Amino acid sequence: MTDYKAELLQGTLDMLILKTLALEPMHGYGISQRIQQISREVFRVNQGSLYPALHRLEKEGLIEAEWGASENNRRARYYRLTKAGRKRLSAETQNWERLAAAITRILQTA
Amino acid sequence: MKFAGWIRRKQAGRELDAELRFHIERRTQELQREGLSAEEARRRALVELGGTQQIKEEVRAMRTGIWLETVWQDVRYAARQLRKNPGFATVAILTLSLGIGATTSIFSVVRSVLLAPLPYSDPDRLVMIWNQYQGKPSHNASPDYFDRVEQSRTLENLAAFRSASFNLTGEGEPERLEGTLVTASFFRTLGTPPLIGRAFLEEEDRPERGDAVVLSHGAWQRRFGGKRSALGRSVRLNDRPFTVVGVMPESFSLLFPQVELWAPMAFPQEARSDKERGNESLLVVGRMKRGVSLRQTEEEMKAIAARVPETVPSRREFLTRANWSAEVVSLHEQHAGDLRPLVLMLFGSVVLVLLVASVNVANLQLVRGAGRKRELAVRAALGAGRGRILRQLCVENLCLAAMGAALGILLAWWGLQAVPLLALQESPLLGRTTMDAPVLLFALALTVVTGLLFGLAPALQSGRPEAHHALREGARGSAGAMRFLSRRALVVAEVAMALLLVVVAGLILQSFQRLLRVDPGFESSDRLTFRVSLPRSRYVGREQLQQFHKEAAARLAALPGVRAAGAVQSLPISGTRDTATIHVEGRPIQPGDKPFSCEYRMISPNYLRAMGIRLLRGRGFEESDAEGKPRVVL
Repeated sequence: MTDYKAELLQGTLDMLILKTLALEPMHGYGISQRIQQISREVFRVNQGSLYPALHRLEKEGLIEAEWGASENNRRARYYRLTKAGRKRLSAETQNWERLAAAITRILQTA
Repeated sequence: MKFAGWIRRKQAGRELDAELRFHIERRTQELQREGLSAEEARRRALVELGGTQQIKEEVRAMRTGIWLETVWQDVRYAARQLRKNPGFATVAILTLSLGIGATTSIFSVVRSVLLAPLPYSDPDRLVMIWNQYQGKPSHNASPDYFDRVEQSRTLENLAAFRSASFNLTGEGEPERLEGTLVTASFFRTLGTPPLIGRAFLEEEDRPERGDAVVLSHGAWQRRFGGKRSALGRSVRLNDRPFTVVGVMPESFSLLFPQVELWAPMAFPQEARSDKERGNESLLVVGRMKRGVSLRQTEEEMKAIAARVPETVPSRREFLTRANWSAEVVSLHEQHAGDLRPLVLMLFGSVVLVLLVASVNVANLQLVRGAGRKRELAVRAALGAGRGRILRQLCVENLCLAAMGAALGILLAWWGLQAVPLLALQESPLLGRTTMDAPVLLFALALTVVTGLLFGLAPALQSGRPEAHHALREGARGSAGAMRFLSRRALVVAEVAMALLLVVVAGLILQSFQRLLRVDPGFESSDRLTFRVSLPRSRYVGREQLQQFHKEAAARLAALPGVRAAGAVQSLPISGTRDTATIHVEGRPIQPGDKPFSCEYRMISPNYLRAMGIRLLRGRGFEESDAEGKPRVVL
């Protein structure tokens, strides 16, 4: 069971990124580490798909990026949630909860 | 613009590089801390990331392509929807293709006749100048032309020309060529340099010279195989030697589709004499100076004409009574003017047809919209935004319109082959009607407009977010009243437009029928015509000419299958005519009488029989009338 790592549901990666950035601004590497940690290694974040997702979210105006100094004083690109991103996150969260509840109900009744 | 975009893309690429490098470094450090060698750690970090080049590609595609990709999705979805509904799709596409096809083909006519400029330099400054009697235009006489050349201040250049035909003899088959005699200023006035060689020189425009010839592009290709060596070649025209000095470009022939060669007018000295006034056979084209209006030129020409009765006493009475003056028409208007109302009416009609077609398809869409409500509601419930659904519907409509347009353009192309049939009044401008880039662009614009036109109302209606209503069975009535109302409005508009179309078509048909029923006074079926011109150098004097015609008519009549053969100076309704003023003996002209002027034609004895013209009274001509002293007329 510990070997089993689910592929991320399409669209869920976006939500996880937004959630991660809701806590504090972070660079790409940090985001991948954090997602790995909080999902307790259940999801395998395909790091190849992380950066396209970041750039897509940036283009949609949900997050914004600027260069800053990292913990060990290297230049890194930091991402921050925008207002629109915050709104999207809460909407997605609600949506997800509804869907999850519905699926749970279906599984219980069936 | 483009450059800035390129810089931005370059910049974004560099930033992504740095970002990925940072990621790899950090991961390598971490893996080293876990005990891997530096080399192995770096390899693992790279593998985990899965190819930086691939990521970069993906990011780039995403930055430019995300919009395109969803549109493509919409297109595919639309195609699926239409395939599921082949009946609706076929009817809609056929309807639209008729509308778009008709509109496109008539637009190409509108463009060639009314919109596209003439293929001469600065064509808006070109005008035709005419004499005017009782408000009607007439050709120029040579002294009129010289008056204009000498006195005009508003015109930069003037040229006179008239058609003439030439017998080409010498090498190869003898051939009859249509040509135009022009003054040396002709090509300069129109502003078109020759394709090869040169135009006429002033000294070539004199009676003792006049031996240069400029070929049309067509004649050059046909007779000389398009070779440069045609220049300087000697040809015999009407039994006189001419030298080919130039070839005009193909575009120059637009207004002169029949003309194969141009030769110098070479006015003789008498052409300036007042005796020539009234001998009107010249066309005159002028180029206005920059900033001069057509009106100014016309006023000037009228003023010049007004001086003639004063300086030429012998014609004073006649000219004043005939209300003599001049008129100026733009060169474009001269060739498009008669067609303008016809073309515009046709265009109006086909636009109406297109509107009716759009309304029809809109109606079909509304009916279908009722059935699709559930499908759209499901999509909305699954998270598609209202904008996204609207776009989906628009894409679907544009797909329909595009397919209709593709078929329509084929129809239009086919329709263009039929246009010459429509040209009751022939204009050389119709000759350039083609499906070129601007016409296709117009068809494209038409597609988008119609796609949105017939699609928008239904799209707005079915795009209304009533998901929960629609998902519940039987909740159909909510928007029904509204939809019923708009469908009624569509039907009313459609019937009105269709009625208008029927009325217009009826009117066109009626006037066409009337035209067909006109009795021209002669019979045109089973009659063949051809033209001859005899070289002046060989046939001198009346006797020789009469001899030729007599013999030709006799030999033609003797051919098997020929019932009668006759000759005439110019065929009826062929456009060329000669006029003469008639004075009846013993009836002096009263002041205030309009001069009794008529067209006349010289004919041979058998002409009337050959043309099936009935005589009202009296007898036809006989051979003896030609030689006999009392000249006879009909």
